[in-house]
Amino acid sequence: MFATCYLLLIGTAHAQSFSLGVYPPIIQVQAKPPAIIKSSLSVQNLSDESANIDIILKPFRPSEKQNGETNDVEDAQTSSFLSRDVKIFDGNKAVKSLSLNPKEQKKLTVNITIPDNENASDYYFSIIFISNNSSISTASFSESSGGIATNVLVSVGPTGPTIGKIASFSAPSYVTKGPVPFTINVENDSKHYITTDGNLVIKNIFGQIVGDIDLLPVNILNESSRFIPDKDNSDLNNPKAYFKENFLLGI
Amino acid sequence: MKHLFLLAFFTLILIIPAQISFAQTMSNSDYILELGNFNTVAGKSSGGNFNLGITVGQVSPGLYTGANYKVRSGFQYYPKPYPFAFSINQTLIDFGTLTPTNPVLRTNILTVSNQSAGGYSVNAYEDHRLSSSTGNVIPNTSCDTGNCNLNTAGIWTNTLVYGFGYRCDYVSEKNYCPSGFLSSYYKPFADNSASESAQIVMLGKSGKNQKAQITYRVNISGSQFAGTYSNQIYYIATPTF
Repeated sequence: MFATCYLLLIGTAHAQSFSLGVYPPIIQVQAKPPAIIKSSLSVQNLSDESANIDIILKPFRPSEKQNGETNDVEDAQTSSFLSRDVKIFDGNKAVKSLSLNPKEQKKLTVNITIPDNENASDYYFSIIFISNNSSISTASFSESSGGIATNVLVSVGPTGPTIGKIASFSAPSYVTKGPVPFTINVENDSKHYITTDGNLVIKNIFGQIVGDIDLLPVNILNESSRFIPDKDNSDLNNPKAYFKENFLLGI
Repeated sequence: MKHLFLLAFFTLILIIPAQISFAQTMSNSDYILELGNFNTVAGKSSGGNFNLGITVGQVSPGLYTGANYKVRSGFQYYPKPYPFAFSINQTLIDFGTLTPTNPVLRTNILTVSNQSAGGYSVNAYEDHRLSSSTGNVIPNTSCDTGNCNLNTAGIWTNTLVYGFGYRCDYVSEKNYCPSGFLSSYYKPFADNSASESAQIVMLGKSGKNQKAQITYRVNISGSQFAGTYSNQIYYIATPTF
Protein backbone atom coordinates (compact mmCIF):
# COMPACT_ATOMS: atom_id res chain seq x y z
CA MET A 1 0.00 0.00 0.00
CA PHE A 2 2.81 2.37 0.93
CA ALA A 3 4.58 1.49 -2.30
CA THR A 4 1.45 2.41 -4.25
CA CYS A 5 1.30 5.73 -2.44
CA TYR A 6 4.96 6.41 -3.30
CA LEU A 7 4.38 5.73 -6.96
CA LEU A 8 1.45 8.06 -7.06
CA LEU A 9 3.44 10.75 -5.35
CA ILE A 10 6.48 10.52 -7.60
CA GLY A 11 6.31 13.41 -9.95
CA THR A 12 8.20 16.15 -11.63
CA ALA A 13 7.76 19.86 -11.62
CA HIS A 14 8.66 22.84 -13.75
CA ALA A 15 11.13 22.28 -16.55
CA GLN A 16 14.01 24.45 -15.44
CA SER A 17 17.34 23.03 -16.33
CA PHE A 18 21.06 23.61 -16.02
CA SER A 19 23.71 22.64 -18.54
CA LEU A 20 27.18 24.10 -18.61
CA GLY A 21 30.44 23.11 -20.26
CA VAL A 22 33.96 24.28 -19.55
CA TYR A 23 37.31 23.80 -21.24
CA PRO A 24 40.07 23.09 -20.34
CA PRO A 25 39.39 20.88 -17.31
CA ILE A 26 42.86 21.63 -15.98
CA ILE A 27 45.39 24.44 -16.24
CA GLN A 28 48.94 23.79 -15.07
CA VAL A 29 51.20 26.74 -14.48
CA GLN A 30 54.89 26.79 -13.69
CA ALA A 31 56.31 30.23 -13.11
CA LYS A 32 59.17 32.17 -11.64
CA PRO A 33 58.59 35.63 -10.19
CA PRO A 34 57.83 38.09 -11.54
CA ALA A 35 55.26 36.86 -14.03
CA ILE A 36 51.86 37.77 -15.33
CA ILE A 37 50.22 34.62 -16.55
CA LYS A 38 47.29 34.57 -18.89
CA SER A 39 45.46 31.44 -19.84
CA SER A 40 42.28 31.07 -21.81
CA LEU A 41 39.19 29.38 -20.48
CA SER A 42 35.98 28.69 -22.32
CA VAL A 43 32.59 28.36 -20.67
CA GLN A 44 29.40 27.56 -22.56
CA ASN A 45 25.76 27.52 -21.60
CA LEU A 46 24.57 24.30 -23.24
CA SER A 47 20.93 24.70 -22.23
CA ASP A 48 18.04 26.41 -23.98
CA GLU A 49 17.58 28.79 -21.07
CA SER A 50 19.66 31.76 -20.04
CA ALA A 51 21.92 31.25 -17.06
CA ASN A 52 23.30 33.51 -14.36
CA ILE A 53 26.63 32.18 -13.24
CA ASP A 54 28.78 33.05 -10.25
CA ILE A 55 32.52 32.43 -10.42
CA ILE A 56 34.07 31.08 -7.26
CA LEU A 57 37.72 30.24 -6.58
CA LYS A 58 38.27 27.48 -4.02
CA PRO A 59 41.51 25.93 -2.76
CA PHE A 60 41.69 22.15 -2.83
CA ARG A 61 43.92 19.30 -1.77
CA PRO A 62 43.92 15.71 -2.96
CA SER A 63 41.27 13.40 -1.58
CA GLU A 64 42.44 10.84 0.95
CA LYS A 65 41.39 8.23 -1.60
CA GLN A 66 44.48 9.23 -3.60
CA ASN A 67 42.65 8.75 -6.89
CA GLY A 68 42.72 12.29 -8.25
CA GLU A 69 39.54 13.51 -6.59
CA THR A 70 39.68 16.88 -4.92
CA ASN A 71 38.71 17.96 -1.43
CA ASP A 72 37.86 21.57 -0.78
CA VAL A 73 39.98 22.96 2.03
CA GLU A 74 40.27 26.13 4.00
CA ASP A 75 43.78 27.29 3.23
CA ALA A 76 44.58 30.81 4.34
CA GLN A 77 47.72 31.12 2.21
CA THR A 78 46.00 29.96 -0.98
CA SER A 79 42.89 32.03 -0.21
CA SER A 80 45.05 35.10 0.18
CA PHE A 81 46.80 34.30 -3.11
CA LEU A 82 43.45 33.85 -4.84
CA SER A 83 41.95 37.09 -3.61
CA ARG A 84 45.10 39.08 -4.29
CA ASP A 85 46.63 37.63 -7.44
CA VAL A 86 44.02 35.69 -9.44
CA LYS A 87 41.41 37.36 -11.58
CA ILE A 88 39.02 36.13 -14.25
CA PHE A 89 38.63 38.50 -17.17
CA ASP A 90 35.80 38.73 -19.66
CA GLY A 91 37.50 40.86 -22.28
CA ASN A 92 39.14 43.72 -20.40
CA LYS A 93 36.89 43.48 -17.38
CA ALA A 94 37.53 41.41 -14.27
CA VAL A 95 34.36 39.49 -13.47
CA LYS A 96 32.94 37.45 -10.62
CA SER A 97 29.71 36.55 -12.37
CA LEU A 98 28.41 36.00 -15.88
CA SER A 99 25.12 36.01 -17.71
CA LEU A 100 24.98 33.53 -20.55
CA ASN A 101 22.27 33.36 -23.16
CA PRO A 102 21.09 29.96 -24.37
CA LYS A 103 23.96 28.17 -26.13
CA GLU A 104 26.24 31.17 -25.61
CA GLN A 105 29.94 30.52 -25.23
CA LYS A 106 32.35 32.92 -23.60
CA LYS A 107 36.09 32.89 -23.71
CA LEU A 108 37.54 34.13 -20.48
CA THR A 109 41.10 34.77 -19.41
CA VAL A 110 42.55 33.55 -16.16
CA ASN A 111 45.02 36.19 -15.08
CA ILE A 112 47.53 35.22 -12.40
CA THR A 113 50.01 37.74 -11.11
CA ILE A 114 53.18 36.48 -9.47
CA PRO A 115 54.85 39.47 -7.82
CA ASP A 116 58.60 39.78 -7.68
CA ASN A 117 58.72 39.02 -3.96
CA GLU A 118 56.58 35.87 -4.15
CA ASN A 119 58.14 32.94 -2.34
CA ALA A 120 58.44 29.56 -3.95
CA SER A 121 55.19 27.76 -3.31
CA ASP A 122 52.42 25.73 -4.91
CA TYR A 123 48.77 26.74 -5.08
CA TYR A 124 45.94 24.44 -6.08
CA PHE A 125 42.46 25.74 -6.66
CA SER A 126 39.26 25.17 -8.61
CA ILE A 127 37.50 27.78 -10.68
CA ILE A 128 33.83 26.95 -10.15
CA PHE A 129 31.07 28.25 -12.37
CA ILE A 130 27.87 27.87 -10.41
CA SER A 131 24.34 28.86 -11.33
CA ASN A 132 22.61 31.36 -9.10
CA ASN A 133 19.14 31.18 -10.57
CA SER A 134 16.45 31.34 -7.96
CA SER A 135 12.89 30.14 -8.11
CA ILE A 136 9.70 31.20 -6.43
CA SER A 137 7.11 28.65 -5.49
CA THR A 138 4.00 28.67 -3.37
CA ALA A 139 4.73 25.10 -2.32
CA SER A 140 7.65 23.51 -0.51
CA PHE A 141 10.60 22.93 -2.80
CA SER A 142 14.31 22.32 -3.22
CA GLU A 143 16.20 24.26 -5.83
CA SER A 144 19.11 22.48 -7.49
CA SER A 145 22.03 24.69 -8.43
CA GLY A 146 24.58 23.22 -10.80
CA GLY A 147 28.25 24.01 -10.84
CA ILE A 148 31.21 22.91 -12.89
CA ALA A 149 34.87 23.27 -12.09
CA THR A 150 38.23 23.64 -13.75
CA ASN A 151 41.27 22.80 -11.68
CA VAL A 152 44.35 25.02 -11.65
CA LEU A 153 47.78 23.95 -10.43
CA VAL A 154 50.23 26.79 -9.90
CA SER A 155 53.83 26.14 -9.03
CA VAL A 156 55.91 29.20 -8.22
CA GLY A 157 59.64 28.63 -8.40
CA PRO A 158 62.48 28.39 -8.16
CA THR A 159 61.54 24.94 -7.07
CA GLY A 160 63.61 22.65 -4.94
CA PRO A 161 64.66 19.14 -5.83
CA THR A 162 62.12 16.64 -7.02
CA ILE A 163 61.82 13.86 -4.48
CA GLY A 164 59.55 10.91 -4.89
CA LYS A 165 59.24 7.20 -4.70
CA ILE A 166 57.03 4.30 -5.60
CA ALA A 167 55.26 4.00 -2.29
CA SER A 168 53.60 0.72 -3.10
CA PHE A 169 53.42 -1.72 -5.93
CA SER A 170 51.48 -4.95 -5.82
CA ALA A 171 49.85 -7.63 -7.91
CA PRO A 172 48.03 -10.81 -7.02
CA SER A 173 50.54 -13.50 -6.14
CA TYR A 174 48.44 -16.18 -7.81
CA VAL A 175 46.05 -15.79 -10.69
CA THR A 176 44.34 -18.27 -12.97
CA LYS A 177 43.34 -15.87 -15.69
CA GLY A 178 43.63 -12.26 -16.72
CA PRO A 179 43.24 -9.39 -16.73
CA VAL A 180 45.72 -8.93 -13.91
CA PRO A 181 45.35 -5.81 -11.76
CA PHE A 182 48.45 -3.95 -10.59
CA THR A 183 48.26 -1.43 -7.80
CA ILE A 184 50.78 1.37 -8.18
CA ASN A 185 51.06 4.22 -5.72
CA VAL A 186 53.60 6.98 -6.23
CA GLU A 187 54.52 9.43 -3.50
CA ASN A 188 55.66 12.96 -4.23
CA ASP A 189 57.75 14.30 -1.36
CA SER A 190 58.62 17.47 -3.24
CA LYS A 191 57.40 20.94 -2.40
CA HIS A 192 55.90 21.19 -5.90
CA TYR A 193 53.56 19.07 -7.96
CA ILE A 194 54.92 16.59 -10.46
CA THR A 195 53.51 15.02 -13.59
CA THR A 196 54.21 11.36 -14.13
CA ASP A 197 54.42 9.47 -17.37
CA GLY A 198 55.38 5.85 -17.34
CA ASN A 199 54.80 2.32 -18.32
CA LEU A 200 54.87 -1.09 -16.72
CA VAL A 201 56.96 -3.72 -18.49
CA ILE A 202 56.17 -7.35 -17.73
CA LYS A 203 58.73 -10.05 -18.43
CA ASN A 204 58.41 -13.79 -18.10
CA ILE A 205 60.94 -16.05 -16.41
CA PHE A 206 62.93 -16.20 -19.64
CA GLY A 207 63.32 -12.45 -19.72
CA GLN A 208 60.99 -12.01 -22.64
CA ILE A 209 58.72 -9.01 -22.59
CA VAL A 210 55.16 -10.28 -22.49
CA GLY A 211 53.37 -7.07 -21.60
CA ASP A 212 53.85 -3.31 -21.71
CA ILE A 213 51.15 -1.27 -20.00
CA ASP A 214 50.99 2.47 -20.59
CA LEU A 215 50.16 4.24 -17.37
CA LEU A 216 47.86 7.23 -17.24
CA PRO A 217 49.89 10.44 -16.96
CA VAL A 218 48.79 12.06 -13.71
CA ASN A 219 49.63 15.03 -11.57
CA ILE A 220 50.70 14.32 -8.02
CA LEU A 221 50.44 17.33 -5.77
CA ASN A 222 53.17 18.31 -3.37
CA GLU A 223 53.68 16.03 -0.38
CA SER A 224 50.95 13.63 -1.44
CA SER A 225 50.51 10.23 -3.05
CA ARG A 226 48.38 8.96 -5.86
CA PHE A 227 47.36 5.64 -7.34
CA ILE A 228 48.19 5.42 -11.02
CA PRO A 229 45.88 3.45 -13.32
CA ASP A 230 46.56 2.43 -16.89
CA LYS A 231 45.67 4.78 -19.72
CA ASP A 232 42.43 3.00 -20.48
CA ASN A 233 41.18 2.97 -16.93
CA SER A 234 39.90 6.23 -15.51
CA ASP A 235 37.58 4.56 -13.00
CA LEU A 236 38.00 6.48 -9.76
CA ASN A 237 36.66 3.57 -7.73
CA ASN A 238 39.33 1.27 -9.00
CA PRO A 239 42.52 3.11 -10.00
CA LYS A 240 44.57 0.10 -11.08
CA ALA A 241 46.70 -0.76 -14.07
CA TYR A 242 45.43 -3.84 -15.87
CA PHE A 243 47.46 -6.38 -17.81
CA LYS A 244 44.74 -7.32 -20.28
CA GLU A 245 45.99 -10.77 -21.12
CA ASN A 246 43.43 -13.49 -20.60
CA PHE A 247 45.74 -16.42 -21.20
CA LEU A 248 48.72 -16.25 -18.91
CA LEU A 249 51.92 -18.23 -18.98
CA GLY A 250 52.08 -21.89 -17.99
CA ILE A 251 49.66 -24.79 -17.89
CA MET B 1 42.31 -29.26 -14.37
CA LYS B 2 44.34 -26.54 -15.84
CA HIS B 3 46.11 -24.07 -13.68
CA LEU B 4 47.51 -21.01 -15.22
CA PHE B 5 50.30 -19.23 -13.50
CA LEU B 6 51.61 -15.81 -13.96
CA LEU B 7 55.36 -15.93 -13.61
CA ALA B 8 56.77 -12.65 -14.58
CA PHE B 9 59.08 -9.90 -13.58
CA PHE B 10 57.93 -6.36 -13.61
CA THR B 11 59.74 -3.24 -14.45
CA LEU B 12 58.01 0.00 -13.69
CA ILE B 13 59.42 3.07 -15.29
CA LEU B 14 58.03 6.46 -14.48
CA ILE B 15 59.16 9.58 -16.19
CA ILE B 16 58.34 12.59 -14.07
CA PRO B 17 58.61 15.89 -15.83
CA ALA B 18 59.41 18.23 -13.03
CA GLN B 19 60.65 21.71 -12.53
CA ILE B 20 64.25 20.73 -12.51
CA SER B 21 66.85 21.02 -15.16
CA PHE B 22 68.53 17.71 -14.62
CA ALA B 23 67.51 14.10 -14.77
CA GLN B 24 67.30 12.06 -11.61
CA THR B 25 66.91 8.39 -10.92
CA MET B 26 65.68 6.64 -7.83
CA SER B 27 65.44 2.94 -7.36
CA ASN B 28 64.99 0.14 -4.94
CA SER B 29 65.54 -3.56 -5.38
CA ASP B 30 62.54 -3.97 -7.61
CA TYR B 31 61.85 -0.76 -9.42
CA ILE B 32 63.48 2.17 -11.14
CA LEU B 33 61.99 5.64 -11.04
CA GLU B 34 63.52 7.82 -13.69
CA LEU B 35 62.94 11.53 -13.50
CA GLY B 36 63.22 13.61 -16.58
CA ASN B 37 63.05 17.35 -16.68
CA PHE B 38 60.45 19.89 -17.50
CA ASN B 39 61.73 20.41 -21.00
CA THR B 40 60.92 16.84 -21.89
CA VAL B 41 57.20 17.49 -21.61
CA ALA B 42 55.46 16.50 -24.80
CA GLY B 43 52.98 18.83 -26.38
CA LYS B 44 52.53 21.81 -28.58
CA SER B 45 54.99 24.56 -27.83
CA SER B 46 54.52 28.03 -29.07
CA GLY B 47 57.97 29.45 -28.41
CA GLY B 48 58.46 32.56 -26.35
CA ASN B 49 55.28 34.43 -27.13
CA PHE B 50 52.40 33.64 -24.82
CA ASN B 51 50.06 35.66 -27.02
CA LEU B 52 49.62 32.63 -29.22
CA GLY B 53 47.25 31.18 -26.70
CA ILE B 54 45.65 34.44 -25.68
CA THR B 55 45.12 37.08 -28.30
CA VAL B 56 44.13 34.60 -30.96
CA GLY B 57 41.50 33.48 -28.51
CA GLN B 58 42.06 29.81 -29.00
CA VAL B 59 41.25 27.44 -26.20
CA SER B 60 43.05 24.30 -27.19
CA PRO B 61 45.12 21.77 -25.35
CA GLY B 62 48.84 22.25 -25.38
CA LEU B 63 51.84 23.90 -23.84
CA TYR B 64 52.13 27.66 -23.99
CA THR B 65 54.99 29.77 -22.75
CA GLY B 66 55.42 33.36 -21.72
CA ALA B 67 57.92 35.47 -19.85
CA ASN B 68 58.94 33.43 -16.79
CA TYR B 69 56.14 30.91 -17.10
CA LYS B 70 54.75 27.89 -18.87
CA VAL B 71 51.11 26.93 -19.03
CA ARG B 72 49.77 23.53 -19.95
CA SER B 73 46.15 23.70 -20.93
CA GLY B 74 44.15 20.49 -20.74
CA PHE B 75 45.36 16.94 -20.41
CA GLN B 76 47.81 15.96 -23.12
CA TYR B 77 46.30 12.50 -23.45
CA TYR B 78 42.90 13.99 -24.31
CA PRO B 79 43.97 16.07 -27.29
CA LYS B 80 40.53 17.18 -28.49
CA PRO B 81 39.05 20.18 -26.68
CA TYR B 82 35.68 18.71 -25.81
CA PRO B 83 34.12 20.64 -22.95
CA PHE B 84 33.72 19.02 -19.58
CA ALA B 85 29.94 19.32 -19.34
CA PHE B 86 27.40 18.91 -16.55
CA SER B 87 23.61 19.06 -16.78
CA ILE B 88 20.66 18.89 -14.42
CA ASN B 89 17.46 18.19 -16.28
CA GLN B 90 15.22 19.87 -13.75
CA THR B 91 16.41 22.29 -11.13
CA LEU B 92 13.17 23.10 -9.34
CA ILE B 93 12.03 20.19 -7.20
CA ASP B 94 8.50 21.04 -6.19
CA PHE B 95 7.21 18.97 -3.27
CA GLY B 96 3.75 20.48 -3.36
CA THR B 97 1.80 20.66 -0.14
CA LEU B 98 3.33 18.36 2.43
CA THR B 99 0.98 16.30 4.55
CA PRO B 100 1.97 14.24 7.62
CA THR B 101 3.13 10.66 7.09
CA ASN B 102 2.70 10.88 3.32
CA PRO B 103 6.22 10.78 1.92
CA VAL B 104 6.77 12.81 -1.22
CA LEU B 105 9.27 11.58 -3.78
CA ARG B 106 10.70 13.66 -6.60
CA THR B 107 13.50 12.99 -9.05
CA ASN B 108 15.91 14.72 -11.37
CA ILE B 109 18.74 13.51 -13.58
CA LEU B 110 22.40 14.51 -13.43
CA THR B 111 24.36 14.08 -16.67
CA VAL B 112 28.12 14.43 -17.15
CA SER B 113 29.97 14.36 -20.45
CA ASN B 114 33.63 14.00 -19.72
CA GLN B 115 35.76 13.52 -22.80
CA SER B 116 38.66 15.69 -21.79
CA ALA B 117 39.63 14.44 -18.34
CA GLY B 118 40.33 11.09 -16.77
CA GLY B 119 37.62 11.02 -14.16
CA TYR B 120 35.27 13.27 -12.26
CA SER B 121 33.05 13.47 -9.24
CA VAL B 122 29.87 15.38 -8.47
CA ASN B 123 29.68 16.66 -4.91
CA ALA B 124 26.48 17.88 -3.32
CA TYR B 125 25.45 19.90 -0.30
CA GLU B 126 22.43 21.86 0.86
CA ASP B 127 22.63 25.46 2.00
CA HIS B 128 20.54 24.52 5.03
CA ARG B 129 17.83 22.09 6.04
CA LEU B 130 14.38 22.52 4.53
CA SER B 131 13.25 25.66 6.32
CA SER B 132 10.23 27.93 6.40
CA SER B 133 10.30 31.69 6.42
CA THR B 134 9.34 31.58 10.10
CA GLY B 135 12.37 29.52 10.97
CA ASN B 136 10.80 26.09 11.30
CA VAL B 137 12.80 23.25 9.85
CA ILE B 138 12.29 19.74 8.55
CA PRO B 139 15.21 17.70 9.87
CA ASN B 140 17.52 15.73 7.65
CA THR B 141 16.70 12.06 7.70
CA SER B 142 18.51 9.54 9.83
CA CYS B 143 16.49 6.71 8.19
CA ASP B 144 14.52 3.90 9.81
CA THR B 145 17.28 2.77 12.11
CA GLY B 146 18.55 6.21 12.96
CA ASN B 147 21.94 5.25 11.60
CA CYS B 148 22.17 6.68 8.11
CA ASN B 149 24.42 9.69 7.78
CA LEU B 150 26.50 11.61 5.26
CA ASN B 151 28.74 8.62 4.65
CA THR B 152 26.38 5.69 5.02
CA ALA B 153 22.99 5.12 3.42
CA GLY B 154 20.24 3.38 5.33
CA ILE B 155 16.85 1.92 4.62
CA TRP B 156 14.00 4.40 4.89
CA THR B 157 10.53 3.01 4.26
CA ASN B 158 8.77 3.66 7.56
CA THR B 159 6.24 6.45 7.04
CA LEU B 160 6.51 7.32 10.72
CA VAL B 161 10.16 8.26 10.26
CA TYR B 162 10.41 11.89 9.25
CA GLY B 163 12.91 14.04 7.47
CA PHE B 164 14.50 14.91 4.14
CA GLY B 165 16.99 12.82 2.21
CA TYR B 166 18.05 11.50 -1.15
CA ARG B 167 19.18 8.42 -2.96
CA CYS B 168 21.03 7.81 -6.22
CA ASP B 169 19.97 5.33 -8.89
CA TYR B 170 21.64 4.40 -12.11
CA VAL B 171 19.78 5.15 -15.30
CA SER B 172 22.66 4.68 -17.76
CA GLU B 173 24.04 1.37 -18.89
CA LYS B 174 26.58 1.79 -16.10
CA ASN B 175 26.20 2.81 -12.52
CA TYR B 176 27.70 6.18 -11.68
CA CYS B 177 26.28 6.32 -8.16
CA PRO B 178 28.47 5.85 -5.10
CA SER B 179 28.17 2.43 -3.50
CA GLY B 180 25.69 1.79 -0.72
CA PHE B 181 22.40 2.83 -2.26
CA LEU B 182 20.58 -0.46 -1.91
CA SER B 183 16.86 -0.57 -2.59
CA SER B 184 15.02 2.07 -0.52
CA TYR B 185 18.28 3.31 1.01
CA TYR B 186 18.70 7.04 1.58
CA LYS B 187 21.14 9.56 2.97
CA PRO B 188 20.87 13.12 4.21
CA PHE B 189 22.52 15.94 2.26
CA ALA B 190 25.52 17.63 3.80
CA ASP B 191 24.32 20.79 5.56
CA ASN B 192 26.60 23.68 4.67
CA SER B 193 25.14 25.84 7.44
CA ALA B 194 26.36 23.21 9.90
CA SER B 195 29.81 23.19 8.25
CA GLU B 196 29.33 19.70 6.88
CA SER B 197 31.50 18.82 3.89
CA ALA B 198 29.95 18.17 0.50
CA GLN B 199 29.54 14.51 -0.32
CA ILE B 200 30.02 12.66 -3.59
CA VAL B 201 26.68 11.81 -5.19
CA MET B 202 27.99 10.72 -8.57
CA LEU B 203 31.35 9.75 -9.98
CA GLY B 204 32.64 8.35 -13.22
CA LYS B 205 35.32 8.24 -15.81
CA SER B 206 35.94 9.45 -19.30
CA GLY B 207 32.89 9.18 -21.52
CA LYS B 208 29.76 10.85 -22.81
CA ASN B 209 26.29 11.21 -21.30
CA GLN B 210 26.87 9.52 -17.99
CA LYS B 211 23.66 9.76 -16.01
CA ALA B 212 22.50 9.28 -12.46
CA GLN B 213 19.05 9.83 -11.03
CA ILE B 214 18.63 11.59 -7.73
CA THR B 215 15.45 10.83 -5.79
CA TYR B 216 14.44 13.28 -3.08
CA ARG B 217 12.23 12.10 -0.27
CA VAL B 218 10.55 14.28 2.32
CA ASN B 219 8.19 13.12 5.03
CA ILE B 220 6.77 15.21 7.87
CA SER B 221 5.17 14.43 11.19
CA GLY B 222 1.78 15.58 12.43
CA SER B 223 3.48 18.09 14.68
CA GLN B 224 5.33 19.80 11.84
CA PHE B 225 4.34 23.46 11.66
CA ALA B 226 2.32 24.36 8.60
CA GLY B 227 4.13 26.40 6.00
CA THR B 228 6.24 26.20 2.88
CA TYR B 229 9.72 24.83 3.29
CA SER B 230 12.61 25.24 0.92
CA ASN B 231 16.34 24.97 0.51
CA GLN B 232 19.02 24.97 -2.15
CA ILE B 233 20.94 21.87 -3.22
CA TYR B 234 24.30 22.52 -4.87
CA TYR B 235 25.82 19.98 -7.24
CA ILE B 236 29.42 20.67 -8.27
CA ALA B 237 31.03 18.55 -10.99
CA THR B 238 34.81 18.51 -10.71
CA PRO B 239 37.26 16.71 -12.98
CA THR B 240 40.24 14.92 -11.53
CA PHE B 241 43.53 16.74 -11.55
